[in-house]
Amino acid sequence: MLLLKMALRNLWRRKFRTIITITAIGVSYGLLIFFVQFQTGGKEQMANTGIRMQAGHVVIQASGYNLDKELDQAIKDPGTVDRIITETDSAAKVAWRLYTTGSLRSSDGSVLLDRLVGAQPDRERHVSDFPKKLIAGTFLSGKPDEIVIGAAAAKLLQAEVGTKLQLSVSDVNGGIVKVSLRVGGIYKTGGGTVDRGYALVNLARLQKLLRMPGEISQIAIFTDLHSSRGLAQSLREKLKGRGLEVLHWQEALPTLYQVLLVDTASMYIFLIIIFFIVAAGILNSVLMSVLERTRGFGVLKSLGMRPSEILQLILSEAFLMGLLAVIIGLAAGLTISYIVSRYGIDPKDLAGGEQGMEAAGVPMTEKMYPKITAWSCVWSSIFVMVLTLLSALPPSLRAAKILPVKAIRE
Amino acid sequence: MSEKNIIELKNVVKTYEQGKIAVRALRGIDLTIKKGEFAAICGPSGSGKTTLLNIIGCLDDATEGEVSVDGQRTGTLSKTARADLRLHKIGFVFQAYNLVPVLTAFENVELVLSLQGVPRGERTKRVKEILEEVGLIELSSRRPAEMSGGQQQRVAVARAVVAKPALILADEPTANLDSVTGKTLLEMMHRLNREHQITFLFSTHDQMVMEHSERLIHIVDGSVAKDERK
Repeated sequence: MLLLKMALRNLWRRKFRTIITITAIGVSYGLLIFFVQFQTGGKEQMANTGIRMQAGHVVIQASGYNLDKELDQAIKDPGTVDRIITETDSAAKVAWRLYTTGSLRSSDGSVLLDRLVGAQPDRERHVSDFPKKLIAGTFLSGKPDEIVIGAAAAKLLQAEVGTKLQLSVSDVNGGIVKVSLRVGGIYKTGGGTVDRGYALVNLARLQKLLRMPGEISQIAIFTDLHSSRGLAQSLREKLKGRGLEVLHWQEALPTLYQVLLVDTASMYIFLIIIFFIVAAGILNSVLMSVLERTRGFGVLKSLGMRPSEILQLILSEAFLMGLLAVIIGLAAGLTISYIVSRYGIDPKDLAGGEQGMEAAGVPMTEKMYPKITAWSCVWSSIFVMVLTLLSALPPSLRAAKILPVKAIRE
Repeated sequence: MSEKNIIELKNVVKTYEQGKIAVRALRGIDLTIKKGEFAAICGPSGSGKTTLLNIIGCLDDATEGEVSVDGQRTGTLSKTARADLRLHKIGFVFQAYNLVPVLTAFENVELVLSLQGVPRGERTKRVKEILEEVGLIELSSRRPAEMSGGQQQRVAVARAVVAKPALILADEPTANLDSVTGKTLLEMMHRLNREHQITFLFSTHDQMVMEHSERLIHIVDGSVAKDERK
């Protein structure tokens, strides 16, 4: 108890240095907390956007199906698969999709479609982001000749709701099929690729055009980020031997997943820099304090204090500094996170332009929010405390090993 | 070793390396100090008296020879065992007082008992008793910076005595004090020596300390030149 009292008073005796050190570590740690939480929130948002627009948490397709290219590799009996999905997870939302490529032409221009999606209007409305991004018209209403296009495509085609467009696609046998459709709705995600090259039509209509009655390219399943891996594994086992493959979103959207991994790696680099600042701050402060008190440690040793007790005394000082810095850092970091989670940060501001950010074809146009989790606070606090004690260890050992006779002479 | 001998030195040599030159600070000291003695090692500056005191107090090692404190050979002890020996058997009083600046007078005295693991209640009782004895009970809550040199040295003596060690080593304890304060301190230490049967060994060249001491061990150039008892 007396050791702890000494540690506290030693810190207070050098209060200016202690306050500067604690503040520097606390502020760095606070920024770290905010950055980790903002990045976690941003990544989850990006993953969810990609999942809602381009795949699902889990997707099922014919084995070896290469998206948008091989129409003959289709799911022939989606109804049976649908039933198995419902049996496995009754809460999961399911959407059937038929993918192809094509082109759209109007009297004023033409656009190549990277992805033409045949979608089920009722189901798609509940799982996809496109209905929420409409800026004109309505989402697929069930009329056979309607098409929903992006704002960039509409601009190129000089089309608006009701404009007649000619769609050209290749059917399953390679024959060119041309059909007139009317623009039912125009969406704007903010992502250039999606707004220009994506379009949606009714599934039944596209099946008929491609001569693929009852067939689809993919079943997209929507659950949540955390339970999706387990669901994918269960479905893999249940659908074994049916010529189908079950992909987790990380496999279905490999480019997006890689982008998120790179993002995580950049976060770790940032963390290492922050931790280096913390370690250098503690090391400097403790080392200075030890060097200044060499004589004092000699006296304590002459009184009978053991080397281990000297070590304990200095580590207690470092621990107290680390603890205060963590408390300050948590308070600062969580306050910033809380404020930002209320108001959000517009990616357009980060990107510095009218357009939002886009990564791996996924538009990031909605406000980004930090994800405040207890776990991120716990692991980072423990890490800072451990780092603090490790940084304080070399000067503490130096003091513990000091020869009393030499120390007292200083 | 006799039961009455608290310190026993046999042919103690201390050599310092200064660059390539070896300096012999102690040249084969043979000395015994009996329990309860009030003795002083005296001699001019650089004669080796502080070196000798440091070796007896396990703060430094002898290059050659044997050192025993209260029957325990100190040369082969580990750092921790030496710390324990200092904690339980030896008290120190330094020329520069060397109190812990962040602790009050009470806590400075309490520190040794706390390190010994004495329970809080008993610690408080013993610290109060000794502070009463050295006349500083009213200044218990003061820190060293708030006390005069004489008061600090009395706290240092109280700290050295409170654990009732077998031996107190005092290195020039009066050097920083005026003559009146120094005399009072010496009388106090002499009283504690008689009342608690604690052995006091001084290192000094202060005439007043020598006058108060019952035995004078004169060191000249690292050797005992004269050993006189009064």
